[in-house]
Amino acid sequence: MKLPSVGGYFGGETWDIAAVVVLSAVAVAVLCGLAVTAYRQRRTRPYLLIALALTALFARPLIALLSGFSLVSAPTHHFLEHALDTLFVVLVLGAVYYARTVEKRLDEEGL
Amino acid sequence: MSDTRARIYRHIESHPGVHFRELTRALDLATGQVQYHLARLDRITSESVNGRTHYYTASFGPWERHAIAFLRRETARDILVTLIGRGAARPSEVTDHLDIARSTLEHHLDGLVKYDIVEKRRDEGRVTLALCRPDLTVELLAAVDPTVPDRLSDRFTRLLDQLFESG
Repeated sequence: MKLPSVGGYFGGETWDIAAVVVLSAVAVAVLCGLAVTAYRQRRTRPYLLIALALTALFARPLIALLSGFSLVSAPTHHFLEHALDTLFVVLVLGAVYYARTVEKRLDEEGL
Repeated sequence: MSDTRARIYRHIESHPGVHFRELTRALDLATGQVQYHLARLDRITSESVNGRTHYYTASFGPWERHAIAFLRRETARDILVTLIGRGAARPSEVTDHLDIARSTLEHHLDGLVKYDIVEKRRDEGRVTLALCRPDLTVELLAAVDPTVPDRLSDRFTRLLDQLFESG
């Protein structure tokens, strides 16, 4: 299979992809903003990791946009997308792991 | 007073404890413009609570300013309403009633206790929560309402608190 390495897909008849990418960028930006606010309120590691994970998710549509305008080649786009997926999962797993530390601290406070 | 400055003043007057960003959004003004006019409005006071700056007209005292800031946050508001209804309550009653994580309650209590809005009474090692000034709190409750972005951010934080604690 030959990947199209030159020429963006945002010209001509592919406006539907562009619309989905823009919509996903806006939606993830909102979610990312909420996560950053949550981290600023709690200031602990699990909240930071969730905020970073959602930032990685936010980078996906941005890279898709760059690829759409031919600023990033298709293979690079493909590679970065999978790399960001992996990063997202690792960060969420990290948040899950450190979540227990938050709970333990509360136990010690004895509320 | 310029027209813009009057608009900013009127908005703060009708929305006590409004955030800076809300002002720019509601009045459709640039950040710099709002900063410029706020610096020249000497009848406006500001209060920074948990990293967010709220604006008020001079008619509110320091205790009221802090209480308003908390009543603008959905979960803190829920906690205060619970205490209004019950008079005094154990922390576990509040978390059960609101279905929130303990860390959520503790986070909000940090600020509420610090500014003398809620007190922690300790007898025989048991903690009971009660409002310091119930009548005034009820009065202020009607004056303010959380905005949609405030509610969303509050709910997302609550969701994470619950996810991290239920393990």
